[in-house]
Amino acid sequence: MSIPAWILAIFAAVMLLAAEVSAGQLVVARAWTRDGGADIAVYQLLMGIAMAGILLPGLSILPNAVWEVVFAVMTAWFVWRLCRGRGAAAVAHGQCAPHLVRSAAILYVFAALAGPSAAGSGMSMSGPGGMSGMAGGSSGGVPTLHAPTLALIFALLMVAFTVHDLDRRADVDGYFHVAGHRFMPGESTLAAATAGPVTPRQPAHAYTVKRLLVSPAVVKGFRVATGLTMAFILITMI
Amino acid sequence: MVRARAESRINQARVPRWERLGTDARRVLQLALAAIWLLDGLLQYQWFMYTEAFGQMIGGTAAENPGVIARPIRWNAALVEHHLVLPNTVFASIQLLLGLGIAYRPTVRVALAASIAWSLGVWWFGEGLGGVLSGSASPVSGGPGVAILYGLLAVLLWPAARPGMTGGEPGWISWLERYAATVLAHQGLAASIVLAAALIVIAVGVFLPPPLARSALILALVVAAFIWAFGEAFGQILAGGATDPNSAPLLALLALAYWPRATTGDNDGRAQVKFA
Repeated sequence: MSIPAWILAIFAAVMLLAAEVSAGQLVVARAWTRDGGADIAVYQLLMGIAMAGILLPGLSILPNAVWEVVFAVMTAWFVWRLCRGRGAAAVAHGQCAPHLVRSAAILYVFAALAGPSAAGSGMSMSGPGGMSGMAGGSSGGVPTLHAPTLALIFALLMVAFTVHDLDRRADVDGYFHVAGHRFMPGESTLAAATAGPVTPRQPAHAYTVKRLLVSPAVVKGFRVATGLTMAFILITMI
Repeated sequence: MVRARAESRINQARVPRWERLGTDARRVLQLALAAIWLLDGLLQYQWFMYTEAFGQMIGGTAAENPGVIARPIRWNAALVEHHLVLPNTVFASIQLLLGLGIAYRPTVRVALAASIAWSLGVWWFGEGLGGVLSGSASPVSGGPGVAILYGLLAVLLWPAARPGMTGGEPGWISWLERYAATVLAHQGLAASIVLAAALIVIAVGVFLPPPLARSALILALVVAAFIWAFGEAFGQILAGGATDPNSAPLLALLALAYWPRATTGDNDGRAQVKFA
């Protein structure tokens, strides 16, 4: 007996939903027009797809080696962002550090998977009847990671970030840089900045979708779901 | 500048009250408790918990307990053994929800109350009352049970009726409280991690050799003093109306109870550490 496949499928579905939201933020809310928004939206999109692929092998679209390269680049990107001029401030306000740690964590998962299938495509977490997405060899049909202490440390960090994200106001640290946008009373600064000015010609439904995609609740929900799923993957593969 | 300040004030006024509250020491401890519940929930999803061994582990806690206590434990163990997936998934999900609920401010009271009920249930059905009635409870072996401590913590960390604890107190205590709140206002995560690390060091410390154990216990006393001063406002004794000095002095006493008293030789000539 191992972890039921339907539990993994639920987590994978949540991650796919998160990836869809990120794609929506990129396209509908035009994240690339916001300072500091596009890279994080892209990273979240990739994160959602990769994690869904870890949980269910059928959803894996790239070989592990490619994912390793992708997240190595993302991790390096966030390191570079931290080291830039306003890096210290970003660290102090917790804007970039969580993304860096999450990116490093998933890079670690791809790099540290044990088992013969680690070099192949799809994830290596599935044993017979176990984590459907994970093929590897260990007790209970669930694969294990090399350096499990590191997995535990990453899992504890994921839990800490999840608790922190839940506790704080969602729009204090949004995905989009809000400077230079006018304040809209009654709305979060994040939503106000991203939605931009409303013109009479703008379709009402498009405006609603935009606001929904970048609303504080969705942003917070995305972070919590991602952090929790990553912690789940790490803990269950220790 | 003036307009920006006015907008900021308007924005603040529109934010729900629970979101305006700062992060005080009590909240930091609540977040640490939430993190531990989340970790518990995730650990409960591990593959081992979906095997019969988990049910057998629960059943083992019934041993040497009185019949009235042991029978429900055996019933629960049999349920888990025969229905491996559903009970364990429910257990894990409940613990996950408790952690999320405590971390999310609007639901903190509900989640803390539920955690008390859940921890009491786990203490009985999962831990056999920590071996208290079977005579096997020992601090070294985890007695009187982990789950009861979760319930105790939930009671201790119940949100105060007021956002702060500074009403009716001397000015210097109010200043201490305000200063701590200001320092922690945007450092919730860092403070949580530091506090969690300190508590882990303290917990592990009592199992270390006497010199290290003493250091850990001194750290425990410092943490208790910090909590008493900045988190509990000295039990609000000086504010009037307090019926006790709150939990920190008791935690300090608890720490002192673990102080390695002396090292003596036993009959076999081996060194033996005695606790106070």
